[in-house]
Amino acid sequence: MLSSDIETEHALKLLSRRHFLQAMGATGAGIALGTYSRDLEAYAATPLPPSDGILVVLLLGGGNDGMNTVVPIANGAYYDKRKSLALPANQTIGIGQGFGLHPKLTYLKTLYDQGHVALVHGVGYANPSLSHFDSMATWMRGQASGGSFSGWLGRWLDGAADTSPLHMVNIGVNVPLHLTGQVRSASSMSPWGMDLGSENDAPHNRLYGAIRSLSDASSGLGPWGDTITRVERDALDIGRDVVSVFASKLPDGDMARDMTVAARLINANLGVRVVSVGQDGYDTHSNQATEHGKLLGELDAGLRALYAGLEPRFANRTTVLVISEFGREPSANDSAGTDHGTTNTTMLIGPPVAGGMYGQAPSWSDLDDNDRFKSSLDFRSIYATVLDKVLGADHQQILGANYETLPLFSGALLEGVPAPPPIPVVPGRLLPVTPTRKLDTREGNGGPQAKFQANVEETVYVLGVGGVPAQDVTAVVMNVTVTDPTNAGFITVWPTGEAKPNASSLNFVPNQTVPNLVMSKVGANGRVSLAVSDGAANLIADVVGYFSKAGGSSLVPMTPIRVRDTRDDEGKVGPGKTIDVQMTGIAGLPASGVSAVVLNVTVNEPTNAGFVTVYPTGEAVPTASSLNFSAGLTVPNLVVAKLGPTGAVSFFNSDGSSHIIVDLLGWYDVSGSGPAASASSPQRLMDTRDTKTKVGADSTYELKVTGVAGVPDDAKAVVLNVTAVDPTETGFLTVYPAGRALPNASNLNFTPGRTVPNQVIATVGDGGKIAIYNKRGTTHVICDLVGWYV
Amino acid sequence: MATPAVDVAHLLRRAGFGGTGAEINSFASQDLPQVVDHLLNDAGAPQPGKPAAVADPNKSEWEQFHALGNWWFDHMASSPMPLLEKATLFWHGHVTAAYKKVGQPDYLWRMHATQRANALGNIRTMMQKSAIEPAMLVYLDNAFSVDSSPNQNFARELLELFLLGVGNYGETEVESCARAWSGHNLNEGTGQYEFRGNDHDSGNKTFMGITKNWDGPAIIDFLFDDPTQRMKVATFLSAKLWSFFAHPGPPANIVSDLANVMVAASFEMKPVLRALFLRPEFYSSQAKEGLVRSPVEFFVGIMRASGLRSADAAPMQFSDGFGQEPFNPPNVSGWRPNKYWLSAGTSGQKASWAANLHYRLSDQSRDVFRDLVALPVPQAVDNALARVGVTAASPRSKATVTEWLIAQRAAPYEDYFETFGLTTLVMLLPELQLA
Repeated sequence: MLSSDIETEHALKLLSRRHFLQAMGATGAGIALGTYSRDLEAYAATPLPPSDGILVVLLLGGGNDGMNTVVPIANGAYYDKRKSLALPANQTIGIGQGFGLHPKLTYLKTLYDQGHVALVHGVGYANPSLSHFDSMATWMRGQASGGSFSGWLGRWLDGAADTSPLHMVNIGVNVPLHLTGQVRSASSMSPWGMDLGSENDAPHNRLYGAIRSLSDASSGLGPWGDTITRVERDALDIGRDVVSVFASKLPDGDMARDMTVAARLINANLGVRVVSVGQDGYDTHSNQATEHGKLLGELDAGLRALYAGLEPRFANRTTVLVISEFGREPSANDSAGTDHGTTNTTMLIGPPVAGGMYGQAPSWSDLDDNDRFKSSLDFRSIYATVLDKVLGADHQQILGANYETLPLFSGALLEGVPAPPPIPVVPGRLLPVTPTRKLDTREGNGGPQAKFQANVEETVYVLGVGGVPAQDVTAVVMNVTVTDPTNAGFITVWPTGEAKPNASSLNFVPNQTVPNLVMSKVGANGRVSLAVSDGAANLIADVVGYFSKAGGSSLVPMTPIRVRDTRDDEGKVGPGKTIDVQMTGIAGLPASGVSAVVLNVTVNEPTNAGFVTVYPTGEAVPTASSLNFSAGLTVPNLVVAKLGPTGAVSFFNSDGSSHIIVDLLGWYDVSGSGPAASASSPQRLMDTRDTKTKVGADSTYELKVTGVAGVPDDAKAVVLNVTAVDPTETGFLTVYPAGRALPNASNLNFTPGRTVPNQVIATVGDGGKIAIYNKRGTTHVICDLVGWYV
Repeated sequence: MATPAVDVAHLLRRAGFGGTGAEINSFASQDLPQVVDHLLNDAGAPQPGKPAAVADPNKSEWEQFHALGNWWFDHMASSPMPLLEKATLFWHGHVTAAYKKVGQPDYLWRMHATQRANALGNIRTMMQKSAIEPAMLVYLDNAFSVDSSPNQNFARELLELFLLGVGNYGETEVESCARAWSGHNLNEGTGQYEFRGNDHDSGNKTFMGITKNWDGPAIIDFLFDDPTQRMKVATFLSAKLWSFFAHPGPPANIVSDLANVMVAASFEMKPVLRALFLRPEFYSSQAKEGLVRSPVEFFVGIMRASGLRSADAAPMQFSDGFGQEPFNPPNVSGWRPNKYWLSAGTSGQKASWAANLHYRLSDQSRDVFRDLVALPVPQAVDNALARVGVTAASPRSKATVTEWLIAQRAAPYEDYFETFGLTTLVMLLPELQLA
């Protein structure tokens, strides 16, 4: 069992898959303090594919009394043996078939009535141990017999393709046995927050950058030294990724808190597949009635918190498995409690579950030699079912034997998962074009060869050339890049001839190169205006598509799927090299009828400054850039890319060698009739300065946006210029649909005293409202409407 | 003949919890056998008595357990005989008992005292005495194992985990061993081991092909006496010792050599450790780079170098989150090495611990790096590294801390952040996470 336990070689093989070796080779001996920004490196978390089942394991520590949880109210022996502990039938919540739920389980009853709860009776194992430790270890190991000390879910994780540290998470500070495999184990996440990586001010970011840079090249301390720095980088990524989990107040009560953390973690779409939560205190040897009721009440609140917190697209595929190391003895003891027993009722909960009762409730008269219940079903049959159905695994490989599986799932779980809600990324009836450069002040292209000066309006003509017609165009979509700015500031893009709005299309700090996808209504004479807020900066603008009164393709959003990652096998893309990525016919895209795709393109570890141009495969490389970067920096950008005749898109790398990572976010259907965009001249919807009341810290302001200012009642999304004025602390605003969970994103980041605007596409939520969340300090908020989608 | 300083530093880390620059320099002038003999000489080792807090009736069991853990941390951090502490830590994870099942901090202390007294002594004595420690009797259920239904828990682990390893015995041996140990029980009233003849199975049992009236302790003696069995025991333990002190995955020839030493020395620990520390392979890069520090080693290494003690470093408060609570292993197989100490949660906890340490000490104006803000960057960095026990920082680590400190000091109005940032950054350096 201890034969060197974990082989160094094996573990490192695993780690090399996490693009560690490439990272080492890329940066060599040079030591550069990496930048650390919340917005960068978002690629670190891979979203879960939309059809993957999600498992929440709930461990009830101490041995839950299953007989007083799902009560056999029709069985006289229960009342005889349990005496005063027995729950009278009329106090339980009847569920038929001779059973009633403990009165505290009101939410469970609701789920049961919806067909979302499977109760499996008579679950246990042969020769049961009455030791908490041994029996819990048996449940956690989930092995046929013998074998090493590892857990059943940990062994599943060993074989999982997704190597993200967030693929399996324990809510707590340690990693329990069931989540510990032979080569991998779950991450642990404290329910009180993950401090490392969570702050976003200058000194913390400088510190994080230093910690992060430790992993940029070999530590010089051997493979484990390199693994250590890599794991610390993971911790930073997780800390940053899970900020939203802790961004707003968590409910009181350990179970409701932990289950809310679980729900938010899953909602954050970071590739979380398994979450484990524990509740202790079920060892009710005395005074059981009060204690047990309190615990089950907390359990019920936890389940409610989980499903209330989960977004529908995740709730629909989340199953909760409730287990405990053993049940209690049939008879009550002399202290109004029950002693360690054997058999128990196991619960599976959630929309994927085929609700009802399974297994055979144990006999109250045919007991074992020690007067305890006899089990009729091995718990590993339930594990086998969960592994096969929820986690898409081969249970025999993980459990070490073939177990009978049970029909506990409705079967639709791995096939017909409901479509995820739309992502608000440039919807509308778009007509994509090959990127066409309209402006490059570095070259004197589209205007003088001189930087934009602060608050000086420059205009570019966007119609009639580069595939954009001269008529019927309502708005254009441009990739705008700022480079070499002298000051911190922002770019505003607006229709020429209208008043310059207080809005930004992208924000930057000195010497930064920042790209952004910008939608603007076309103004007078077919022109669009641009201005820089502070200092001077070079600007580059490429038109990538337009909206027309004559119609176009409509966006079909999808849950993001990674379609290319050069870090996997092929290595970096060299200077002047192009890679082609087929889009149609893969990842759920049809073979034809696709005009363009929406991509999140990330450049990772470029050796030189340069740019990537995304263009239709088969055409010449256009003079345009989709993404500009500096050496060593990781830069992501949203890209709308027209497809070539074969349905592929090409990625040209200008200088040096870079990894390119391509995530597919959606596609444009030529036959579609999706949301149509309407552009409006700016109209003010809200200004907290009018009432002299700032939005407080950690609070949310809801704003009605439909049925006002000309926005129709059925608008799906609105385009707003949101401005924070006079914030008191470093923080951010998040704009999201009212009534939904707070997403892991920020729309607008600010520092004390600064006025910061940004353009936001906000999906309309419940009651035609959007919600504006302020993280820290207090700030005035202004919202100007500039468009909507119906 | 002098010994290379890097080898001395490595030896002091593995045979203890790391040495200071002065200690390393001093030993480097001696030849290696001299250094090893010095480390093995426990003549003056302190013989601590039961920590007062463990006997304090005003403390809860949990408080006593924490006090016991903190006491051992302090003892490891201050003992002049760190190899004794390291060897005790080895046995603590090899023949183990856990608070979460045993409770009874007094039992845990008594088993610890027994193991400490024999950690560098005779392995057979260690096994025989550990077998009947009340903590062991409770932990592996021999406390009430009787002839009518002998509990196999202890018997199985004795063969599987403590002495032989899987594959060196059959189910017959487990059953016979369990019967042989029946009646070796615990008197809960006195809290002492008790042999109850009436509950002992004195019938014939077959163990390793020999049928007779085996008794539990006689089985242990047989495994240490029989020429075939004792070589298996020595091989099993030698592999585990090399894995613990040098690196996992021990080469067969080294294991074989150490096992021969062990048998020839009648299972005395010191000759085996001497041979182990004198092996050229112990100084290979595979060994030097082959082990991640366990959380106990992490805390003690920093505590020894910095002079911090449990009252400030609060190791028991964080050791669960780090993944290793002394006196409370996750299961009977003790703790596993390397990857098991590395997770994002653990790294996050280490950063939280560093922050906690910083804030606690700054409140009392005793910040561990407080005085360094007055020093120029190079000296501040050198002092910070030395203060936590990094005697040979990698160029990358040193440059990272240096460049960060330069940038940090250049930022206006952010001087409040310097000691916090320095504490966090230094505590996360890979040098401090490697054994």
